[in-house]
Amino acid sequence: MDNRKAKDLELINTYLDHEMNDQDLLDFAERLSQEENLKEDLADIMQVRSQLRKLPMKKPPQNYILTRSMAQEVRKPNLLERFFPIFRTAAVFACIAFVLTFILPLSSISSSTKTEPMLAKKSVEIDLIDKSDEANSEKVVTPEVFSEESVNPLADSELMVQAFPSKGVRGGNPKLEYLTNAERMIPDDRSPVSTPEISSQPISGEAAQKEIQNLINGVSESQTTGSAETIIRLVSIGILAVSLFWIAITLIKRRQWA
Amino acid sequence: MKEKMETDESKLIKGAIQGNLNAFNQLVMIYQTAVYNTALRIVYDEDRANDLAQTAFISAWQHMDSFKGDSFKPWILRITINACYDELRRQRRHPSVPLEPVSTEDDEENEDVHWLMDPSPQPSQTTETNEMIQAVENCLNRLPFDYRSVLLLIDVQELDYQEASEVLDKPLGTVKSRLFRARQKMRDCLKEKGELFSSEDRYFDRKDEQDNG
Repeated sequence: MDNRKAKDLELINTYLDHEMNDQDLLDFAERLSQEENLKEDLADIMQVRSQLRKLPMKKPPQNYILTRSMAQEVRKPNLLERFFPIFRTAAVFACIAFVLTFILPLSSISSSTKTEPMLAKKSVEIDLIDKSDEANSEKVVTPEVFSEESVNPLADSELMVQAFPSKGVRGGNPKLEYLTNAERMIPDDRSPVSTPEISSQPISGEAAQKEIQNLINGVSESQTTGSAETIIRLVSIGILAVSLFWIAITLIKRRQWA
Repeated sequence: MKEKMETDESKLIKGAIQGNLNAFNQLVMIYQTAVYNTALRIVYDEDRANDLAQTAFISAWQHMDSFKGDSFKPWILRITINACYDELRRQRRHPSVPLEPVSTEDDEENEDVHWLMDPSPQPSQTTETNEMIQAVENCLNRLPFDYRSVLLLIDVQELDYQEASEVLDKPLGTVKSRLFRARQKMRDCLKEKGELFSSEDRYFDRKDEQDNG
């Protein structure tokens, strides 16, 4: 009897859950029309099921959405999210670096304005040195042909007197006058370090070479500064581009699900 | 419409697997009521159900990589039921006996009216529907855990046999037999409480409806 009851119950449940095949369904329908008990059992189970489905769903007292920190505690974020803070910081630093390359040269511009006249003066010096050798050999310098190229600061005083008949500045000698004029020809050449060298000391060939070397070093130094700036700019632009790309992709991916 | 929802859900699942928190949180918003209510019907304690629901979602996020399937609901319900089962086991091992609150100052029993108050609804508030719901919940609570979980999945959350079998990690036959027995027990319980209409009552009830209609 119990076995029969259990079998009936199984049939009822199978029927209710639409798991019955066509033949079983026909048999079950036939039995239902004949057996009152089976009909009653079916009605009971249907009622139980409907009551269970009617159970009200209570609203959760809170939302269970995870915050970013909660999520990161339990699971490593994906590659985009993992590197997002790094690229965000990198973008900020790259921006700062890029802007600084435009602001910082102000100081280097002022230093470069100092170097430029000095370079001009140095070039004159070199010319003077070269020409002095020629003047020494020819021993003929005329005031008519006086020019920057023909200046010979190393000529002896007699020659200088011939070349510069002036009595000199404030009663000084012609050489001093020449040097003063030479200085005036070069703007901003007021450096106390470099001027006496030109004026008072004769420059030997070796020293001249040294001066040239220093000059070249100065030029290359300024070139290096310029190229460093360019490199910094390029690097910061590169970093900025990559960072912005990464940030954009991450934000787009985030927005896709928002 | 259903297909569109499924497509949306698949997209959200894909996003959540890839680690997109927003996608996962959308799934949370869709299923949090089902999860909370399943937990509530198993542990019968709102606070614990709340904690369990949160735990279930955290666990789901943690193991999102291992998700394989099309539907999120059976998976999250499985996690919820497992969490509830662990909780019930823990409770059985370390039963927390409800203590009468004792005032800390004089170690005397607290005679606060709040403590003595009956948490059940007042007779005036109780309606017929409430009685029925209470009876169903009561009967459900009396069921063994295995029967209750099957009944909750199939009759309350409306999963099919196959999904319930996957959720509970039990063979289909076991799920079916548990469900039949669970329904039978529910029927007996409700009959005992007088909450199930007899066939005659049902007949008169239907007739009244027809006459009124």
